[in-house]
Amino acid sequence: MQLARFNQFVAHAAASGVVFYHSGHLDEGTIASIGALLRRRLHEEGANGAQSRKVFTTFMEMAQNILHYAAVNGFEDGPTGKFGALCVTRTGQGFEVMCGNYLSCDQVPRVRQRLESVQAMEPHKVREAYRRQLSSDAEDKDSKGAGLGLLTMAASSRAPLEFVFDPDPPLEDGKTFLFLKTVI
Amino acid sequence: MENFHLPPTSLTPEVSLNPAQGLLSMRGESYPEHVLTFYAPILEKIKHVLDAGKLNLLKVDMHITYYNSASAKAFHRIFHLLNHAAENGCAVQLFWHFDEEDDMARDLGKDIREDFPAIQVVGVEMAAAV
Repeated sequence: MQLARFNQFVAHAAASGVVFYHSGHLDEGTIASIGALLRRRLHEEGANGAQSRKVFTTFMEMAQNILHYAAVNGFEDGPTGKFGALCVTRTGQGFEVMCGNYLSCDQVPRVRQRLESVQAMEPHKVREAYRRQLSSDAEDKDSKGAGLGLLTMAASSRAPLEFVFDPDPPLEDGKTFLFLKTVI
Repeated sequence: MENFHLPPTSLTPEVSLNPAQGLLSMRGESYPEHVLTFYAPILEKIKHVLDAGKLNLLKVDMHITYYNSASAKAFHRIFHLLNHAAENGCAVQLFWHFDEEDDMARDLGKDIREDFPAIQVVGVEMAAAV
């Protein structure tokens, strides 16, 4: 990268209120390290306790979703593993938490359906659904609880979940990138 | 029966089970990658102690300062075991500690009280850690 472009990149991140950005391979160790760093950054940004907790909770659910559900990375020559992008930005009132990861086209209908159903819920419905899902998942030994993760994000967000698939519709037999956003 | 103890890590809580004194405690954070792998042996130990049927009282101390959604499921399974034991003659007191600003943990405490009526749940609100 030319230094001038890096300069633009840094300026653009600052202008967009980026507090934290990670893009790359995720595993348990990476998540523990970036979690500790994120807490420190939130403290530096003057986030209050409740905000900081919600940002951290959402960020971790997004990271776990990438770990468990993302399609393996889309670069032919890249390392194997789960590639994901995670971002926290400062807004006037609070924070936004975003993630992006690959999905294979056969995952898209189920994920889209879950996202749309959580997006349409009123806050008290989110909480009801969370309780229901907690009881039913506890019975089901194989579930990794994606539903519960999305409901946890929705419960922490002041606005409905926002999401975009790119490309949409996904290329046949290909991958698409899912972007997801919550507002704290 | 032997004591069971796991030291805390940055991703998992400290877990102590002392059958002779009827004490179970879990403290710290809970977000391992493989939640079920972490909690399966703990569930097994608790089940073993409860199945022996020698306890009249089990005091459970839980203060999990952060838990992910998969850990919430594991807790639910532990509460199932405790509720079952409580229905069968072992009084179970659960001291559910939560930080004052932690709405999800506060709500989970209420849910436990409703969903597992045999357990005596005592909510303990803690001043937020800095």
